[in-house]
Amino acid sequence: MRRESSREWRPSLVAAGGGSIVAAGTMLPWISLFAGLHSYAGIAGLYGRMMFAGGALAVAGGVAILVRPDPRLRLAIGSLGLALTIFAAWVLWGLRSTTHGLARHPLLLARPGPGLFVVLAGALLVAALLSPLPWRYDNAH
Amino acid sequence: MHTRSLSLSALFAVASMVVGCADQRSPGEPSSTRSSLAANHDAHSGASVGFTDGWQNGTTVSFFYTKPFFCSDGPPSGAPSGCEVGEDGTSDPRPGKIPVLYVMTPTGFRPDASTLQCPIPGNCINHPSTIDLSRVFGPGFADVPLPAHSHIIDSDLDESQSNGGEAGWWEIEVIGVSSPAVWDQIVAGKSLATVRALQAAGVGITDDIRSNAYLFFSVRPKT
Repeated sequence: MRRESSREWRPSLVAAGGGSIVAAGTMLPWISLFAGLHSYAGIAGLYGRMMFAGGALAVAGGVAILVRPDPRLRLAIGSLGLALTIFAAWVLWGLRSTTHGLARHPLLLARPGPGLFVVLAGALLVAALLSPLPWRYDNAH
Repeated sequence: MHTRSLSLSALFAVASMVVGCADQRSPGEPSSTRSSLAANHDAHSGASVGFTDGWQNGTTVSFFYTKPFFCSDGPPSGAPSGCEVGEDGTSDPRPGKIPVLYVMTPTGFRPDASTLQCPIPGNCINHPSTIDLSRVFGPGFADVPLPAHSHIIDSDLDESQSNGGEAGWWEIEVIGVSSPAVWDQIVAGKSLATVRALQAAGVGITDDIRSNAYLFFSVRPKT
């Protein structure tokens, strides 16, 4: 009984935890200049705000899974995680191009910040809900 | 043939200066004789040629840039330029000790523009006019202003006297200043000694942040 209860929490924790990590990543610097002295957090731009909204949605979805443990809900949140992963990977590619471009100017001392990598990690965690793990209500239904 | 060749060269030089100026300063920016005048490109190497101001031993001097920057082979960098920050390079552009150019960077506040040698985006040689971060942050981030900064050197150091104290390589190190009061003291002192004293106090200023990037310029009296 206790084991099944813990399994019920698992997808909820994954969704809420992953979503929180995504949201936290948008608050962290995505790129910095002058060796980290001037940093720009992701939330400052549209892409960061979109990812923050996605993270918040995943957290809300995690709570919803607790209230209504429906496998379709888990799949929906997992799909959101997959979309966030693809989005974050695409922006990471843009970050790479941007830092390469800015590196041609040695006084700028541009380098990527940790935020976008944190977003990607959180998105991957949320996307893990799509994996064929023994989620509790899969067995129950 | 020779005359034609000279004419073409002159035309190219004039065109380069026009393009260089247009690229370095946006129409809305006021002209400044105090800050840098990155003006043209060297026809032989493609290097940017121009001036920035700098502080040296209590006075303001001019730096005259004539060669492209140099980034050492290491530490590892994913950038095509090979530039990396936070770690010293494994190879230098020439043997022997190399003097340091300290990039003084205000953080968290905007000092008076008269105290900044690169106060206006694009007014400094080797700097982009503005930064396009739209691929990272999305629409609205295609024209981010370049953070302002100033420069300090100390040519009393032995290594600064190499090449007769004239043109040579300078290693870039960054120092962040988070306190307006500290910034004002640096502006008043215009010297590395002032910076070192403030670093010793340990408030409102960072330690030296090393890089593997080098610039080539000569130090000239400010005219």
